[in-house]
Amino acid sequence: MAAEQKQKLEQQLWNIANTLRGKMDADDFRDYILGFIFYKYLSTKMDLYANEVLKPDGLIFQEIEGHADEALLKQELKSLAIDKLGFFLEPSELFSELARRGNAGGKNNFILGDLAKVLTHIEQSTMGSESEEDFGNLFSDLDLTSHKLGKSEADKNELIVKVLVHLDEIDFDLENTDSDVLGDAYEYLIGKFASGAGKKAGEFYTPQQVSSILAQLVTVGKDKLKSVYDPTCGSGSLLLRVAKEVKTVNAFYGQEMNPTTYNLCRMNMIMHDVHYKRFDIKNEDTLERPQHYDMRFEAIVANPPFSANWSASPLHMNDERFSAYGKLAPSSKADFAFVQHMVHQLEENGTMAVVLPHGVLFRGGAEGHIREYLIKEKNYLDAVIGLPANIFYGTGIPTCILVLKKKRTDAQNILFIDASQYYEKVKTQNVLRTEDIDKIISIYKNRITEEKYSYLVKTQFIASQDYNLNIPRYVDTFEEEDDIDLKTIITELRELDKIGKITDLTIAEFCSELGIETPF
Amino acid sequence: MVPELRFKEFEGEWTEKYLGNCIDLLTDYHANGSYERLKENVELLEEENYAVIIRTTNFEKKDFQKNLLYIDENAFNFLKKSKVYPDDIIINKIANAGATYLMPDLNRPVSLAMNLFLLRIKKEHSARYIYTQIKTKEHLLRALASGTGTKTITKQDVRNFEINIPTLKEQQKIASFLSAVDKKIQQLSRRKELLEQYKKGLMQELFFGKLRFKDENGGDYPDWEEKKLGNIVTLLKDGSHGSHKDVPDGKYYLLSAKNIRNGQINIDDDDRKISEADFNAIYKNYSLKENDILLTIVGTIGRLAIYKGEKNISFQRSVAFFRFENVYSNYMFQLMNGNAFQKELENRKVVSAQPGIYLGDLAKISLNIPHFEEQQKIANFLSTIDTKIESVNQQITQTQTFKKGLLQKMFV
Repeated sequence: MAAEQKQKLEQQLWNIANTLRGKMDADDFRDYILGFIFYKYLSTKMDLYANEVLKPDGLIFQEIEGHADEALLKQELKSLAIDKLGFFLEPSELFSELARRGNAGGKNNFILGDLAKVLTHIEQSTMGSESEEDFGNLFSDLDLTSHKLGKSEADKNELIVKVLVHLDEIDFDLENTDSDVLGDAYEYLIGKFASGAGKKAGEFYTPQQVSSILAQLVTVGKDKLKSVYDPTCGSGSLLLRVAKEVKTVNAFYGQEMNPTTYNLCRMNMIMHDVHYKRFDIKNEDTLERPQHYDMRFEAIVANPPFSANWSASPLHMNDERFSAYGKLAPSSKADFAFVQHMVHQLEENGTMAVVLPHGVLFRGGAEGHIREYLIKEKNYLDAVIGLPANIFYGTGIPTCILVLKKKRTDAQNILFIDASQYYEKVKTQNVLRTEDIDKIISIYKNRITEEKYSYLVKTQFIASQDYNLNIPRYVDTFEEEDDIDLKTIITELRELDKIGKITDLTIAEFCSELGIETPF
Repeated sequence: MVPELRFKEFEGEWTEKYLGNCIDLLTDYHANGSYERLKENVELLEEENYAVIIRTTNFEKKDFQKNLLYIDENAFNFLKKSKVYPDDIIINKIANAGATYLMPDLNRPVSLAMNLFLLRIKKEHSARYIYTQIKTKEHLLRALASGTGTKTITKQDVRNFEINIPTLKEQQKIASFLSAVDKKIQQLSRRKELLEQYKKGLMQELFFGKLRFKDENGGDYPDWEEKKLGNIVTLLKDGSHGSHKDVPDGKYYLLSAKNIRNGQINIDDDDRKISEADFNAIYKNYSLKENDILLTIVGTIGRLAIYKGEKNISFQRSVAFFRFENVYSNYMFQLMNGNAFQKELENRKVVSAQPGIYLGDLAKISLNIPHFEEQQKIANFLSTIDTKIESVNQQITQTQTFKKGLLQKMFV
C-alpha cells in the first residue's frame, strides 16, 4: 500500500481511537476497535463471496431476503460459505447494514441488541464444522454490555454507532488481492496500543524491524516453508512477517497464553487471508502445557517475555524438552526454557531465531550450563546478533538474537554480529533502518568477518571462554590508540620549549615596562 | 579616565566613544538580499568547497577545522556584502545575543552565516584592542538583548555601545601584550597534550617490555611472569550491594563510581550519607587500606583511584577494590589505566540495564608481571610524568588567571 494511503488510514483509525479515548484504557478500546474491524472484514468477505456465487443467477446478496427461494438460497450459501470461509452471515447481519440502520435519518437508532446477536451468530455459524475451533469465542473481548462504553444503554449505543459509522467510511480494498489495508490497520493498532501494555510480565510488542530480521533469518535460502511456529505468538505478527519473506507457507502454528491476545491472533490470521485450515493457534501456557508437543517445525521464531518467571518445577526434568540438559532454567528467568522448548520443536533441517535479553549470553549457573550443553554437546548455535538498546516500546533493555540449527553447514564456527551501533534515533526510540537490517542479513548469509561489526569464532575458542557469549569478547569494537612515535613527540616538546622561552621573554619585557613582575 | 595599570610611555585620558564611530562596516547575512533571493543563490554544503560559511557553533566550540559548512564560488560572490576577513569582530545577534568573537585567519575565503553581526574596525584603531575591550564589558552588551521569545540585539544596540579608547599606539601595545599571553596559554596547552601523548607512548613500550630498565649493576631484570589478576590479589571485592537509608546530616559517606575521577576519590558535600550502623555493617568483613586500588565496574567502567586513607567513606557496588600481594600498587594503578588493560575491561563488559563487569571475570584477566624493582621503576617514572602534566595544567590555570587580572587592571 502506498505510504500516503497508509498514513491516511492510520489517521482515520486514530480518530476512532479518540472517540473512545477517555472512556476506557488503551488496551480496552484497542480490543473494541479491532473487534469491529474484524467484523467489518468478515462482512465484506461474506458479501463478496456471496455475490460471486450468486452471479450466474443474476442476483446479489442483499436481494435474496424476500426472494421466492430465500430459504433455499440461504441454505446453499451457508454450506458453501462455511466450507470456503469458515463462517456465515445473513445479508441483514452485514456490517454496512447495521451501520446504516444505526445512523438512519441522522439519528441514533438502537442496534446494540442486534449487534450482540450478530457477533454470537458468527461464532455459532461455525459449530460442528471444521472451523469451529478457529472462530470459537473470537468476540469474547467485545463486551457490548460493559459499563465502560457508557452509563445508560442509550449512551453505549451512541458510542458504538459512532465507531461503526467511522469504520464504515474506510475502504479496506478487499477486492484487490495485493492490498493489505486491513492487515496494516490491524498491525498499526496492535503496535500503537501495545506500547504501554504487558510491561510487568516482560511482554513487549515486537517492533516490525525486529520481526523482519527474525523472519529473514529463518527463511535464508528458502522460498517455501512447510510450517512456521511461534511458541509465544502474541497477536501473530511475527508469524505473518515470516509469510511475507517467502512465496508460500503451508501452515502456521502458534501458542499464546493471554486469551485476548490469542483472539487477536486468530483474527489477525483470518484477516491476512490465512485460511482457517492453514493455521492452528492455541491458548495455553507454552512451558507448562505445550500444545504442539509431538510436532516439528521448519521455521521457528519467537520473542518470548523477557526473563519471565516460570515454575521450574522438578517435574520438568522428566520432560523431553528439558531432561537432556541436566539443569532447568532458573524460576526467575525462563529465557532458556523457551529456547529449550523451541529446540525440541525444531525439525532436523529447520532454523529457529529468538530475541532475548543480553543476560542469556553471559549469566552463569544453570543458564551457563544450558548454554554450554547447546554449544558443546549439540553444536546447535549458529549465530549471535547484538541489537541496539532501546528498540522495544516500553523498555530500554538491550537485546540479542540467537539463531539455532540442528544441522549446521559451518559447524566449526559461530558467527557473532555486533549491530548495536547501527540505528537511527527517532524521538526517544532507536529504530533499525532498512540498511541496518540488510547489513545484518547479508553478513549472516555470507558468514563473514567485518572489522568492528562481525566475527566468525571457532567453537574451541568459545570453549576457552567458558562458553561466555558476551559479544565484546568476540567482536572487538574498542578504539585502539595509534602507535605513538616517541621520537617525534620528544622533538616537538623540545621545540616548544625553545619557542616558549621566546614568548616568556616577550611577556617579561612587557611586564617590566608595566612595572610588574613577570610570571615566567 | 585612566586605567590602573598602564605602559609607562603613555599618558593622558582615554576617550569614551560609541562603537558605531569606530567601525567601517556593520552588516549581516540578510544584507545581501531578500529571503527568496538568498534561498535561490546560496546552498550550504557539507562537502569541502570554495569558501567557508562561518557559524556561531564554530566560535562557541573554538573549532575551525571540523564541522565546517561550505558554499561555492557563486554563492560567495552573491554574499559579497558579508565576506569575513581575519580580525573582523563577530557578534551573536540571536539566542546567545551579545556574545563577541574575533575572526581567526583560516587562510581561505570566509563568508558570514545567519544570526551574526559582522563588524570591521576602522584603520585608525586596533581591531584586537577593540575586541578585547568589548570582551571585558561583554556582560553589558548581552544585557541589551531583548524580546519575548528569543532575545536579540539590534544594530542600533551595537552602534550605541560605549567603549573607552586610548591612542592607536597604546591600543596596539596592549593588544600585542595580550596576544603574547594568549600565545603562552596556547603553548602550555600544547605542551600538556604532548606530555600526555608522551606518557601514552611510554606506556605502549614499557608495559610490553619493548623498553626495559636495567638493575643497579646494569644487568637485565628477570623475565616477566604471566599471572591471573585473581592470583596476585589479597583483596578483590566490590562495594555494598545493600540498600541503605540516607542520613542527610550524617558523617559517613556512601560513594559510587561517579566519585572516582581524575585518578582520585572526589567527595562532595551533596554525596549520600548513611548511618554509622550501616557503615559498620558494610565494613564488617573487610576494611580498606592505604594504597588499595579502586576501579569503577558499573556504568562508566575503568576509572581508577588509589585509596589514601580517607576516613568515613564507603562505596556502592559500582566500585571494586584491589589489594595486591608482592606487586607494587602504583605499578598496577598505571597498568590498569593503560590502553591494553582498558581493552580487557571493554571485552568483559556485560550490558543489561547498565553496563557492568563481574568480579569473577576480572580475576581471570591475565597480565605479564615484571620483577618488583622493575615495577617500581616503571611506576615511578610514569608517576613523575603525571606530576609534570599536572604542573603544566596548573600553569595553564594560573596564566589564565593572570590574563584575567590584566584585563581588569589595563582597561577602563
